[in-house]
Formats: sequence, C-alpha cells, structure tokens
Amino acid sequence: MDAFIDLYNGFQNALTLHNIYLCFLGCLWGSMVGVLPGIGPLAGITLLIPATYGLDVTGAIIMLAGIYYGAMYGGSTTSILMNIPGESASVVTCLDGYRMTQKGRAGAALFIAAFGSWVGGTLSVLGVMLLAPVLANLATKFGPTEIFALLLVAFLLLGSLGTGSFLKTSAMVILGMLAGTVGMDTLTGVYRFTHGMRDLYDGLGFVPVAMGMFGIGEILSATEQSMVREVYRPRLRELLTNWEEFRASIGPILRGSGIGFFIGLLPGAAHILSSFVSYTVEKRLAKRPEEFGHGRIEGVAGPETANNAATGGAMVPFLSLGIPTTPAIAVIMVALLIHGVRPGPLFISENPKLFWSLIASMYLGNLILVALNLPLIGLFVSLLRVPFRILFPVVLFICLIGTYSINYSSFDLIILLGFGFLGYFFRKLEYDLAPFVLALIIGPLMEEAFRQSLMRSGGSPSIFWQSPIALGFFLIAGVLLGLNIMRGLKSGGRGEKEASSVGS
Amino acid sequence: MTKERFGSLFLLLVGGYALIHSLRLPLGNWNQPGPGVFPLILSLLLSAIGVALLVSSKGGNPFNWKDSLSRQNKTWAIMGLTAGFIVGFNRLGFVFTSGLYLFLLFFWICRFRVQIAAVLAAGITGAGWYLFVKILNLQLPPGLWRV
Repeated sequence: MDAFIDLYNGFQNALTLHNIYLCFLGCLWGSMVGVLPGIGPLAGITLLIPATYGLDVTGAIIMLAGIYYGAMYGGSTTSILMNIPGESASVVTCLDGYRMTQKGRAGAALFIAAFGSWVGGTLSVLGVMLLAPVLANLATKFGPTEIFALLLVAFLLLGSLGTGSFLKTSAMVILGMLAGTVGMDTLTGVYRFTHGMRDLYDGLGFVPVAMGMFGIGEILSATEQSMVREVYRPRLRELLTNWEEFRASIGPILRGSGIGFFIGLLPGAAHILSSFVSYTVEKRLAKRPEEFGHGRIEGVAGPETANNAATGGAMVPFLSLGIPTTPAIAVIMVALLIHGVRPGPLFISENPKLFWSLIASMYLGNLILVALNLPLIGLFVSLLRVPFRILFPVVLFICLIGTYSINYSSFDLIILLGFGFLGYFFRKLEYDLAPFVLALIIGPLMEEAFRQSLMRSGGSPSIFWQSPIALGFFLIAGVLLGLNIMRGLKSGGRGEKEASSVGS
Repeated sequence: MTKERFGSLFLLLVGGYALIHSLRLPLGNWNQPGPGVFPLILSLLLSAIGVALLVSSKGGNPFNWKDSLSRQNKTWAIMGLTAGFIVGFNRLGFVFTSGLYLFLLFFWICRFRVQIAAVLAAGITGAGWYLFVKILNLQLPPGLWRV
C-alpha cells in the first residue's frame, strides 16, 4: 500500500508542466537517436548531460531516462522500414519487420512494435516499482565481501551472455578494469599509470572514453561503408493492424514483457539477448514456425516488447545496487553523480521523492512515446533521408563539444580521440565494446571491495566464504566459470571462431 | 596474420606493460593490500587470456590487411582533422576552429563542392554556437577574435 502512496506522490511531482516538458524532450530526443543508425542512447544521453546542469536532479534524471527508453522505441523504425537496425537490440526485428514492409504491412508492423513497446515498458516499470525497493533493502546488508562477490558474478555473466566469445569478452572486462585503475588510488593516494601527467590524476573520464569508443569509433567504422539507403514511407491511415494480427500479437507481447524484464536484470547485452530469446520462444510456440522470417507479426511483437521491457529491468540493479548493467545506464549514473546523487542500496531510502518521480515519469514517458512515435513516423522517416555525409560531421562535432563541456578540458578531447581509435580498432578485431565501458565504471568499486574485505579480515582470505551471501555468489561464479571452460573445451577453436563471428 | 592472432598479441602487449608497471607500485601485504595488487592480478589474467587466445587462434579468419588499409584513408584523414581541431580549439576559439573543421570535413572527406561545404560549415557552426553558448550557456573558448 505504501508503494502506491509513494507512487501517487511521485506522480504529483512528475506531472508538473516542467517535468512533463523534460520527459517529452527526452522521449523525442531518444526516439530520434534511436531512429538514426550509429547514434545510440549512449551518445544521445551524453550529448544532453550539459543541458542538465541548470536543472534540478529530478528533472535531469527524468529527461535522461526518457532518452534511454525512447531510443529503444525508435530503434524498431529503421529495422522495419529499411532493414537496418537503429539499435543493436532491434536486429531481430529486421527478420520479420522488413518482410512485412515488403508485403505492404509496414504500418501494421510499426503499430504493433509501438503498442508492444508500450505494454512492455509499462509492465517493466511495475516490476521496477515492486522489485527495486526489496532488492535495495536486501543490499543494505551487503558488506564489501558481498559486493565483491556480486560484482564478480556480474562480470562473469557479462562474459557468458555477451555477444562475443567468453575469452574475448573477459579480455575486454579486464582491459576496462585496468583502465579504471588509472589515476590516484583512493585508499593510499598513490598515482597509478599516470606517468606524471596531471590530467590523469583523477583517472580516465567515463564520458570521453565511452563517447570515443561508441561515438567516434562507430563513425570511423561507418565511413568505410556505403550508406546509400532506401526508405519506405508509410501513411498514417496504414498504421492499423487487422483483428487477426492484433490477436496473434497479444501472447508474444505478454511473454515478451516477462522475458525482457527478467533478462534486463542481467548485465551485458540484455536488450539484444531479450529480443533473441523472445523471438526463439515465439518461433518454438508457433503452429507454423517455418513462416517466421517471412513476415510474421509475432516476430515483431515479441522482440520489440522484450527489448523495451529490458530497459525497465536494467533500472533495478542500477537503482537498488548502484550497478549499471548497460553503457547507457552508466552514463545516467555519471550524470547523477555530477548532480551529487549516488545510486545504490541507500538511494531509494535517501531520495524517495526522486525515485518515485522517476517511476511515475516512466509511466508517463511510455504513453508519450506511443503518442509521439505513431503520428510522427513521417518526421522520423525524414530524418533517415538526411545523407550520412552530412550527418557524420555533425555527430563528430557534437561529440567533441559535448565531451569538452563536461570538464572544459582539452585533455578529455585527446582521450576521446584516442579511445575513438581504440573503439574502431576493437570493432575491426570483432571485440565487444560494452564490457570495457561497464568495467571502467564498476572496476574501481570491485577493487575497493576486494581490498576492504582483506583489511577487515586482517588479511585472512576466509572472509570470502564466511558470509553465506558471498558464498552463494561465489558458487554461482564458480558454476558460470566452469560452464564457460567446459563450453570452450568442447567446441575448441571452432567454437571460438563461431562465437566471434556472431559477435561481429 | 589473422585478426585473432593480432588481437591476442595486443592483449599480451598491454598485459606485459601493466605487469611491469604494477610491479613498480607498492604491493603491500595481505593485511594491507597495496595499490599494485589489483592491477597485478588483472595484468596476469589479461596475459593468460592473451596466451589462451593465441593458442586457440590457429587457422583463424584470414584478414586482408592490404585491402583494409586501402579503405582506411578516410579514417586517418578524420583522425588527423580531429587532432587538428583539438590542438586549435583553445588557441583559435570555438567558432573559428569548428567552422574550419566542419568545412574541411565536408569539402575533403565528404566531397561536397567548396561553396556547399562552406555554407554547411557556416550553418552548423552558427547553429552550434546558438545551441551551446546561447541556450546551454556553455563557456566555450572565445579564441583570438573573442567571438
């Protein structure tokens, strides 16, 4: 009952004209960056961080969260109309969505993607509302040992569920953690890997690294490819499904909501994974699975619902444990830190107004997105007609100014360019970038937890198995590691190659 | 050389560098783990993964380096122009550096005609100035001309 009173208060705060405007702005910007291939939610959120400096923290997080889930809505548009996923999570939607466009049913596919996204998004917010406070309460009992064990599981899950091979993903996690050790050691004040450079004393900034690897790196890769596009433009009156299509979509939408939310709780490529799992489940349950890939509406409804529900799922570990599970969530975390708020077990109890306003704004944002995405489909399609050779210099320019404006530092621009090249280099070698960026932000927490645990126990490693919670996490970590080693030994080099080809 | 082998050698190189550097940091003891312990563990793990990938990379995907390098002219040009932007940004100011940077990108990389490149660069610089300086109130370097 308390939750509903808190939610009512949250709505009172979120429904002020100012916050509705910010939510609308975030959703609109999110849809736009989701539509444009190459500019994902990460770049979209980073570019608007400077715009939040003048806002109160509630307004800032409402707007940034709007961009995050708005980008997932927008991602389906290009998949359905052009066979180009605007977001990596919308790859599966291409299979049946584009076939529907070829059959003249683009409008129905867009409608069901928007409707499913709304249902998935709304149900997942309900999940966040119910699960996050419970998990946060549990997490207040966590000491450094439990946190270390939990982060170890998170990293192993990242390696196991990532889009690349386990070894390659683990290498990226370790590289990210090593990058996180650059700068002053918080426990002893010793400088590490700085080579006397003052600009590195505070460590590598998250924004220049993430923007470099995802923004600049993506552009450097994209300029090597042809970007000629054919865009189908549906009319507003076409945006209706027939009764049979709608009825066939209800089951996939409800199942996709559950699949998406629970997979969204896991770190790594949860959005991509949830849409793949939902597609597989729908294909298995279908009476005529051979029709999948030839324009079945269930192949659009399930995955699109699941990847939007995963955005809500990803909010749970972020808000209740302070663990960002996707790079975009990590940028929201950085924005919150700039505003002096640290997500974690105490976040909800210390900032109830902020938490419940965010939840209320997410209900509102999902409604705004449906209202926005269907009538304005023509506008978003027009965006796709902007030639890439005009678009990429603008994106580069915005990345540079956006990064500079965080600390007004030219050194951040050097980091941006350096990591842009590194991102391009790793793309060429078919390594997944997201684990690197996540490890950069979570790595320092893990190191601190590891060293504090040993200090607490007077140097006895037995502390790691004395706590039942930590022991449970270590057992899960052991199982995950064992499974991956077995999988690696079974498939040998062949499996490695297959995995890396999937990752690319 | 295959992509897999090249990647694993890169990991070994970074792992080796981190190992040498972390050994120079205080390692402390089990009671008080020093700042070098965590990077040391990470560098050992990274080197081990590098070796594992190197061993498993036998007969990996062949990679056409020559073809790839020939397609990278644009990449190097963009990198060079962006490096120039970074060097000039504080000295020459936001408006001049951005205008020149965008003009060179449109004219040289995107192959627009000189007039179109100039109009696009001026338009985007102007819009950027309005957005960043006037609306978002960012303190961007005014440069020599105090713009």
